[in-house]
Amino acid sequence: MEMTMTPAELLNIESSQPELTNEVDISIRDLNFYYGNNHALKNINLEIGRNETTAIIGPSGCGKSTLLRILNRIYTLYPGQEAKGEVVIDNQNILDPKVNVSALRARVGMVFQSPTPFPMSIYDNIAYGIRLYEKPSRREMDARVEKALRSAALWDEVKDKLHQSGQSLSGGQQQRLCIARTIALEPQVLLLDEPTSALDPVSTSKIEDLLDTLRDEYTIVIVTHNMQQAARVSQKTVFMYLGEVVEVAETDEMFLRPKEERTKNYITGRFG
Amino acid sequence: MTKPNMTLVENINAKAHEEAAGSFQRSPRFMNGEGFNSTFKWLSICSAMFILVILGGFFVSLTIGAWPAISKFGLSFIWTSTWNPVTEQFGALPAIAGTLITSAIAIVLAVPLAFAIAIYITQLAPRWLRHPLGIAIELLAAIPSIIYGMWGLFFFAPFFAEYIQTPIIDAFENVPFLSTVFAGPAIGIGMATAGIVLAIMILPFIASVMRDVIDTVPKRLKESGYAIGATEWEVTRAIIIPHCKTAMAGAVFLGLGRALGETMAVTFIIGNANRITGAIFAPGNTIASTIANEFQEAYTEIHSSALIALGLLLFIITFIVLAIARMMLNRISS
Repeated sequence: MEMTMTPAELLNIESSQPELTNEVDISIRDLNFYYGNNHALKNINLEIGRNETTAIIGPSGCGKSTLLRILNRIYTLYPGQEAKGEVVIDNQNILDPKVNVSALRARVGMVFQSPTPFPMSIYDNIAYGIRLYEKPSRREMDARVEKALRSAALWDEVKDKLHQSGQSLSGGQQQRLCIARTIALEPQVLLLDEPTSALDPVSTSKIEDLLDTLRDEYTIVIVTHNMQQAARVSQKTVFMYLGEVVEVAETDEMFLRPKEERTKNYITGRFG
Repeated sequence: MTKPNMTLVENINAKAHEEAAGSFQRSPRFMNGEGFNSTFKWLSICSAMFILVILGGFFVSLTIGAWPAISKFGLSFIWTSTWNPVTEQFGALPAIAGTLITSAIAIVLAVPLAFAIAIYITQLAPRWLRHPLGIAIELLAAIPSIIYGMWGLFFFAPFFAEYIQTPIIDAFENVPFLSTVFAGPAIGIGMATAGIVLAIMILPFIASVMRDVIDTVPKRLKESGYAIGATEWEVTRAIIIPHCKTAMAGAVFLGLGRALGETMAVTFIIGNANRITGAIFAPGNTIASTIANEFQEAYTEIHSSALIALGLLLFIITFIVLAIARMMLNRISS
């Protein structure tokens, strides 16, 4: 293919991104990560802006999911996984062992690759997480559940069957239920690990629309394989390769004028 | 390819197909492969059918053997309690009751422990301990039942009589209802002892099936529990257990199936008395122990037929219990 088109044109991206707030929400400093002896992330330095969506792209195995899994310390479930360096949220290094992980995870929510509704009713899928932290009255709980389901654009589809099993929903609905369950805790950051990779195109576009509205209230970090998706939903894009951050730029800039050769090759499909 | 019973049109069609497919026909080497393939296929079909034939054969031969007893006593065989080879009166009620009571004791004691063990191994134990513990449990499940029987008779029964039965009988002596339940000579052998030894026997079995069931919970599902800030116990209670509760119940039924049919260990320690009492320390018998005890001395046709009828009964009961267990365990894969 000749390189007369810019990468952005190849990907058919419109160039109409909103202004960035320029406030930093998460600062990652000199972060290294090890799976046993495998040095998976190398000297990551990255700033993630408040109330904007940051997309992390890169080929399989580049460490993008690993980076995401550090931000809520979910990696600590597995022995032999170790992070060194600093991840600062609100002047606090969350990698400090003294940080309470439950409190951290209430502030940094995560949505996974495939939908994972809990084995309980739709209502309880939302209420369960809230009850871990607070004891709201029945009426207040109803309101919180409704609010979360509305924010996840799911309320109209499930309002008449709140007491059916969450597992009875379709895949796309289940994934929105997982998003609702996460934002019900009113987190500050929303981590999404390839949230649409198991979904059909219609459900995918619903989730992308949803992410667009959620950006006003949350700092969103999304890992994706799909570059069109990164271009559609994010304001800032991080390109990772072999455990390193190769390039960070505003999404438009990244897809129009990538500075690094490797970025250009990846987003034009030379490898990946 | 022309078969004798084809009509002319079919014949022509078949030929046309063969010609059209001519260029795609397989080389002789592949033909050999195909020959082996079909032989193997038929061998394996026959082997699989053989299992069904054996199962059916058991049922048929047990029914034939039991027929004299069934035709003589009818359904009253199940609910009469006289078992007298001399007068040729046979009723299975005491054996049925003994089987159900000992199995119930075993299940009540074993299930909570097995559940706790499975949770510990899969969720709480340090990683280096999980594998050795799992292997220990599997080895425990593999001990032959005769050894449990010997252990029960020579070591457990005397201990049980002295340190557990005697104090309990004394303690409840003057309590109205409980004095009947815990009555009986403190000799160590009886239904309670059999139930306890059965519990020890099925415990590792239930625990290891439960552990396998818990291990099937998807990693992502557990992670999403942790991701909303739940602790290990909260994830276990709200996500892992509800996710696999049906399959866990299946594990219990599997253990029940074992307890119902267990013979040697129970025969050693149940006391072999053919009567029904409400007292759990009293000697009793089970279907399996009655058969094991009496088969050699069953000289009359009706006596051996009654024993075979007992066997048929046990066969049907365990078959149903194990079928339920299978159905419940299969839920987990769907």
